[in-house]
Amino acid sequence: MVGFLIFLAIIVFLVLTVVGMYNSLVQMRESVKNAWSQIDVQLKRRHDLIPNLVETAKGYMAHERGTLESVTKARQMAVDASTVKDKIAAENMLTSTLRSLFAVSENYPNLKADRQMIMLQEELTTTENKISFARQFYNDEANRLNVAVQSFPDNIIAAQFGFQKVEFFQVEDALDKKVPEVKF
Amino acid sequence: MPFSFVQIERDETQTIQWSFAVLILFYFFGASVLVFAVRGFILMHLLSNRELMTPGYRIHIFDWGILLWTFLGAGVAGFIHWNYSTDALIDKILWFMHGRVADPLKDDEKMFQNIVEEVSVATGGRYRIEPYIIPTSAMNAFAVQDFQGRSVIGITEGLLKRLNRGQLEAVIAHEAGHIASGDSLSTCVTSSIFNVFDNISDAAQMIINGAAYDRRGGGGAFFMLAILILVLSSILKSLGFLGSMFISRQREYRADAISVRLTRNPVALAEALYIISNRWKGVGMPGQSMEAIFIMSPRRNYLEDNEDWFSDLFTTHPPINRRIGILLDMAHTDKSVLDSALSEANARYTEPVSPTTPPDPRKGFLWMAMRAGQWVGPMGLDELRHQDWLTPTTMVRKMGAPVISQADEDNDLFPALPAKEELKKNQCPRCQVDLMEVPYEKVRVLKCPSCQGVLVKEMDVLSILGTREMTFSSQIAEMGDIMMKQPKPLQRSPYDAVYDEKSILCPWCLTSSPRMTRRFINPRYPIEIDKCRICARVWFDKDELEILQYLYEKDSPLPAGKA
Repeated sequence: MVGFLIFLAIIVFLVLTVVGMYNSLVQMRESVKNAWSQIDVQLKRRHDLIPNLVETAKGYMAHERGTLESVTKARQMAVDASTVKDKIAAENMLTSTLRSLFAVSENYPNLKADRQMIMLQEELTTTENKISFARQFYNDEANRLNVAVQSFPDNIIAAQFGFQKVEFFQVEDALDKKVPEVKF
Repeated sequence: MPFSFVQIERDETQTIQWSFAVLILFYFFGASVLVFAVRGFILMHLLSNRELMTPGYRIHIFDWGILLWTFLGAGVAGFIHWNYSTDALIDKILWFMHGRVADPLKDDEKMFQNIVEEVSVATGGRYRIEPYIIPTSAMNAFAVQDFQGRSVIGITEGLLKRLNRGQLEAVIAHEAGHIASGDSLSTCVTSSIFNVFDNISDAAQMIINGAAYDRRGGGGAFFMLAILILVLSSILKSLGFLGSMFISRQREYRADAISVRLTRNPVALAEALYIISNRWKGVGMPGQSMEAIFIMSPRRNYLEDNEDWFSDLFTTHPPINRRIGILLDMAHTDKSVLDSALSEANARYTEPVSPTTPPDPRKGFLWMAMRAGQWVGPMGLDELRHQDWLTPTTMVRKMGAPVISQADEDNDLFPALPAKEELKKNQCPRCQVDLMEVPYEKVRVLKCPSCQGVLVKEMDVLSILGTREMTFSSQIAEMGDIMMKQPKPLQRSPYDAVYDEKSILCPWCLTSSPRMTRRFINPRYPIEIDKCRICARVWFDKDELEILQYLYEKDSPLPAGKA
């Protein structure tokens, strides 16, 4: 009798543990999804801003048609991308074309002084920052889920219920991140 | 060290639990000391009056039942306090500091709003933070949060104008760090604890004053008790105060760390701190008593501060040098970067420059003067100064100039005005007639029956602004609107006080003090008042107070729920 009770207690304990682990995995997965949707919101915002930017810039820099076109093209690719991997690649591409656009615009003082351009630039700066903050947050959450999925004993349950590692949103070129200069 | 938001969130939960526990403990400790004192007191009273004691009745100073009841009482009080203490607290703080929501139509305030949004994205969008502007040229920033989940980050105009985007981002991330780790919340709780003990000691003080006032026999016992309560509650208050300061210093370091984690830019934060520490941080600004909520204490300069247990106990913020040092170490750089940032910041914001007016020879001027409602003149300087009806408040108009002003405000006319007799106490500094005490918006002010100027205690000005019984005539409204649209050409920066031969004597302190200084009541409202630096009374000329009230009420409608 006592043996049976102990057995029962162990079973109940195990079931509760498994349920707890499962729930926390679900919670992490949802929070990763939520973090991703945060990035999505900001990316969408950037996509919406770019046509305005191109329109404004066109008036001042007719000679830079190539740069403007590459921005438009990169934006279209980013909008069309369907898988996460494609999306990340396309967005990185878009970031670098935008950067070259801003670099070129330095040569056009009239454009830089344009009221519309100043506002757009502030909007884009804040959106870029939001994207990078959202990415930071997404990576933190993804990291939490990835660690949980691979560590024992959660990995047994994760494998059982199909929880998988998610990909980090990585920035492609190393120059993208400003690393504080190290002096010795 | 991975300092993720999961970690911060855990900290926040802990902070909230701790502050709740501290709250209950405070009530419990306070209440049991009081109960103990009261029981001891009754016991003493009984012992000295043996006839009151029934045989066989025993009284103990300490027993478990009472302890239990005290604990329950403390729990209930703590719970009520927890839920209601922060009700509308943010509105009160913002109202007190004249805060307003950032205006997206202004470039720099739009940027501030954007940065606040960015930082809120960095926290995973869990906090919807409202951006507020405090209209003062002081440089500081703060964060407040309440239990209803509302959070606000405020920044002064002076700081906003001087920092670049990166520095601003670092400052705001620091403030968001306070919000995310629950510091702002527990600051709210501790400050409301002080309030409770403040109220208790105030009540005891009132009883003592009352008892001292009637001096009837027999009140002595009660009187002693009140003194005891006063002493105890003051001790508890100061203990709590010290504790909160100690916690506060640790938090500043942590908020700095969170800021760096979010923005990955320690140099920007170091630069921002350096810039703030080198400028006016807001001594004398409304709200300086709430120093714990600011990024840097508005009170004094912490550059020379030591880091030892003594200063740990008595200051809310760690020494600025140390904070900057830690940040610069993170970036492997040294102080050389800071000075260029400071000069850049100073270049970014220039104080309003006074337009230089060439001095004209005043000989050739002609004036019109208002005598009993009629314009008379034009008269030359010599003719006008010999008119016996000319007083310093007579309205005059210089021919060819569009401005009507009082005679003593006219720079050319002033030196020629008749010398005054010696002012007597409570006489109008302009007309030298006796001032009359009249009720005005729930306070009493001294008013001149002749020129309608009023003398108000500075602390009453705030209360007058807060009371909204009066309505204003369309004339006042019109004058106020014109004044805001076309302020008098600034002779100086709106923050300076002027002290010269035109300064008037304070009708309260007379010659025992320096004359009153002329200054704008507030950088926001270009109303020139005279203020005595000794007794802190303010002299408003005719209509000036009403115009100020009108402008203020127009600017800041009452927060919802207070109307």
